[in-house]
Amino acid sequence: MRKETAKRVLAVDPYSRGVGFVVLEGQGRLIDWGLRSTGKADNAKAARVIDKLIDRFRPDVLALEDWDSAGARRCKRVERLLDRIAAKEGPRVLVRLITRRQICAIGPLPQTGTKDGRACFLAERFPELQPFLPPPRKTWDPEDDRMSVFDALSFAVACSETARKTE
Amino acid sequence: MAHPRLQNYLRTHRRRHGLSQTEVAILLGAATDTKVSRYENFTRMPVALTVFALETVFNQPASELFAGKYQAVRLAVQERAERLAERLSARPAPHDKKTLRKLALLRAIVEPIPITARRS
Repeated sequence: MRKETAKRVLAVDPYSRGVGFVVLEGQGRLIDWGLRSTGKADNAKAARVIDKLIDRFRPDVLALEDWDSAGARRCKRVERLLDRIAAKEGPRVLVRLITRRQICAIGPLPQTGTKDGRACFLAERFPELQPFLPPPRKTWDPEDDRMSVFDALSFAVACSETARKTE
Repeated sequence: MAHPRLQNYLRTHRRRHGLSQTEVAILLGAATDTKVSRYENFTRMPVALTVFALETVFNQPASELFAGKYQAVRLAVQERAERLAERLSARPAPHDKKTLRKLALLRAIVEPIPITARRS
């Protein structure tokens, strides 16, 4: 297990056809972000994608959503995937599970209480992500895949801020 | 010890400026984007002239663009400087002016002055 002081954080957020990821370094410097497609809902492929990301970025911390925390709503497949990743990657990288409460605390609450609001808040803080920002979702639309990047970014920011507060 | 950085941050800077690999390849005078992809995936190290071109494109020093490589090279040079300093100090007359000048340089390499201290 690596030491506690977080220097490089890799945050991943699985979505229905792949994995969204973000890498933060030091005091919130955005290093990389994007979507890695797995073609369909495939946990084995998604686990391989995350493995490759860890090999490339060699993070100190892997930030995942705490699928068991209050308010977390992930399907059984994603819960199994997150559980598997946390167990598999635990020995080589520090795994941090981020709760909904920590995610909402990354900014002013009325705005960061919703996914769209959080995405706008993060796009302002990280202007390089502005072109990635999906339009506000209509209730009858499925969620845009790009939202996964902003979810991953919220895990990474929450993880960095929690580490900073505890130091 | 400093935290190990990534080998290079070309992808970060390229995406920050919204450039594609093909556009960077054009700026570097390369025929295709293959080289850029290999630099970004840490499978190939650019030659010095390309490093200068990348510095110009992203307006960042090479030590920042290739932070991981720079860190590794610097560490290796510091180790060699330490060994050379030991060799010079072990000479029969290590206190002549020339040797003292060399030792001062080697000490500066081994224990570099922080940038903040240099500015003040």
